[in-house]
Amino acid sequence: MTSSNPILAVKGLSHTYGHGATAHRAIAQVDFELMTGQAISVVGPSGAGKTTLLRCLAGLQTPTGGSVEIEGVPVTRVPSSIGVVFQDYSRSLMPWLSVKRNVEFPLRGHGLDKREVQQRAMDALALVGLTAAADRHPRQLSGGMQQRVAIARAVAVQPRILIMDEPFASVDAQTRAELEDLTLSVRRRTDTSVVLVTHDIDESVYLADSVLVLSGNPSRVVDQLPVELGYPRDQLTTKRQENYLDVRSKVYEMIHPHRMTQP
Amino acid sequence: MNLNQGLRTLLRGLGGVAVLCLLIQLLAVIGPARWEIPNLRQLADEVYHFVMSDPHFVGALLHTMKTVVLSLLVALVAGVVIGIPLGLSSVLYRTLTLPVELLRPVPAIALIPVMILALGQGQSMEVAVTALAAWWPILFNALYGARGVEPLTLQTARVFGLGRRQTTLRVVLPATLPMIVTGLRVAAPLALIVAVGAEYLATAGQGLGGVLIQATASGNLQVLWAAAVVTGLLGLVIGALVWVVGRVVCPWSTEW
Amino acid sequence: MVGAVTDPMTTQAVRWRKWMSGPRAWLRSLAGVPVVVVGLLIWQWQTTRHPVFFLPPPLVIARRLKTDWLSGPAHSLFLSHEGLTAIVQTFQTALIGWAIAAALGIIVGSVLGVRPSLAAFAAPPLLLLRSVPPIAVIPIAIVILGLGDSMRTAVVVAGCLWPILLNAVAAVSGVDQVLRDVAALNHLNPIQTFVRVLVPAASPKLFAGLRVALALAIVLSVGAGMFAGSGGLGGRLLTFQNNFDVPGLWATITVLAVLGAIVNWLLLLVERSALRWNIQGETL
Repeated sequence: MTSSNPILAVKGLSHTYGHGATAHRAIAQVDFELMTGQAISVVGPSGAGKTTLLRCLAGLQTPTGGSVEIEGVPVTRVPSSIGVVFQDYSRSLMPWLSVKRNVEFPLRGHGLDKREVQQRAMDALALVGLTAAADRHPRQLSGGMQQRVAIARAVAVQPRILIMDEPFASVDAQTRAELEDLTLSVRRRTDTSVVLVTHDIDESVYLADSVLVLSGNPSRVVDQLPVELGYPRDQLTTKRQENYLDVRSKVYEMIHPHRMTQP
Repeated sequence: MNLNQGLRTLLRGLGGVAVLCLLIQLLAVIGPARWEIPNLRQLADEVYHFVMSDPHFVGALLHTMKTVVLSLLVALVAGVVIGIPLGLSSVLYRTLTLPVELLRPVPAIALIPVMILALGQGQSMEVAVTALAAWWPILFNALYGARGVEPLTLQTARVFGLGRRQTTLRVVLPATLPMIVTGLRVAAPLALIVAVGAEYLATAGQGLGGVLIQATASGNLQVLWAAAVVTGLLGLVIGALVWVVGRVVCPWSTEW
Repeated sequence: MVGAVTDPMTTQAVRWRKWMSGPRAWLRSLAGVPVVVVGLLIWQWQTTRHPVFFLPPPLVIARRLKTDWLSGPAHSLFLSHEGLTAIVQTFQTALIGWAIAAALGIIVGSVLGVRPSLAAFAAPPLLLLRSVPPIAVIPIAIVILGLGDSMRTAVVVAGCLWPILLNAVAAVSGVDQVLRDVAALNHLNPIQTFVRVLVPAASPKLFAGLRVALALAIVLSVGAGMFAGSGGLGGRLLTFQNNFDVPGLWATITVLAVLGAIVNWLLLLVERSALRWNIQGETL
């Protein structure tokens, strides 16, 4: 199912903001590869340059060093094969558009006719279970529903890579569990590759096929851990497996290396 | 903001002003002859003459400033004393909202003729009209500010045993201050406009308005351009004063 | 940007305002009717007993309203000919001047808002320009343009430009960076970003500036008319003042207040409709 060539290749990525005395190095060196149809989660302490990494991946920023390649093509501007889900859904959805129009928004530039645009949008909404809310406005929905709209919008263009920036950090724990399972289901049905940035260690293992652990400021790759948990996954049984607990504690130790319980 | 950034902002600002000066020079040359736009040199000359030649100029300036300051004080007191209770009590607000909304659209400028007939041409008329115009923004800002005080803060005050008057003085008033100062910042330029307008319309010839009337009567465009610049500078000074007042009274505010 | 209409409100204030502006709000504000009626009665009673020169009883004013303003034929809303002419003169210049200022202010303000570096350049000269009160522009306009409609329109434009421009800068530059990222991620070119994202996102603040400017436009149009009696409602005010005609003055003031309120309310309707999606209630 996976081809031998990585769909996403990050080589020697580094990024420094500013020049001279006030320069701030956000990323020192990051290398990793993502195979087609796989999911990689990027986890690290706060301030570890995760957002900078994401912006470089999405073409919103040109890294000061190294390169990002999608399907072998270097990323110089925003590539057309990605979808992005932001952490702050209430700020990323256009409040003056209905849910349906928000999901249609990215489809308009792709040369599809009107009926197809609407159909794809409704399909995406169905994927996230929000067909009934199509004509409401984002601010009339709860946080979890708004984030589902954001996910629908991101997958409506049928992207090759889905980039998610701490997508569930702003919702409560129960909604987070639902959204995690939704992400797994969307992945299964669309066979999209996923890059998930998160600070939640449990989530990073639960949702991914490998976990990229970043050090603190400036970012370096501490390790890339494979996650061999198989599919389908669910919140109860998966999180009890030896494998899961094993990877999880390894990641935890890498991020909090000096944390020891008091004697 | 470190020195580097501060310096860059200053340079940018100066650059902008320089562009403005260039524009004025350009307009002086290519602008319509009828408009008699002065170039910078002429403008500086005229402003100088305007300020120096009229022996009453300083007196006129002080007259206008006095009117503005007095009326702002009146407006401030009236606006806060009426606005805060209106904001705190929904009963008061409900009963008074209709009359307030009926009175609000009356523009102060339109009241100048009545005021002249009622109070004569003197400074008391000017202060009255200007205060009437300036108090609306302060009133509404005090109202919304008082209403916007977090109920949690009020409850905390109650828990600490503060009575109604104490709560208003020690909790609501400081919390509303930033909004009141914003209202003052809107009211100040308004006060300048109405004060000069009242002076202009009254035939007593006092204040900057009086000076403007003389300049208009002479039809001398050069003098009028200079007058505009001087009034603008006065507006700047008033704005700066209000900013300072705001900083002193509400140093914690992040609104400006 | 300094000088723009800001609206810092807590959730409590927002909730309260929603309550006050909800569908039954007009019912609640009817509580003010008895206050108004009582006020009018006291006014009528006191001024009849102790006549005050500059404040005639409401009935006298009402009578003047009828004779001066409402004595016309039905097809022109009962407005008398001179009344209609004066109203049209004033409001026409106010609205045209406001529209010109709106177009200029929004365009320039948006350009500045999109490029913050430009805005940093422009801030001081704008501060200088906008500190010149419209009152100082009136004499210049009179000497250059004479005493007619064009003078009044010019004054209105000069006065209204600044609030609209400043609010446009604040509104456009205040558009959430996340929305701009979304636009960039969807490959929108600068014009598309402007039209489809920046303008709708900036519209609450833009409307606030437009409403402030509209009230200012009316005031300036009347004011410019009062100086040297150049027509419209302002001109009539000046005439009445010179004739010591107090009831006439008050009748004119009433007309001005009513019409100003109506125009403002119309704009508010447009705004409410355009900003229906703005459930957090940023309208001021």
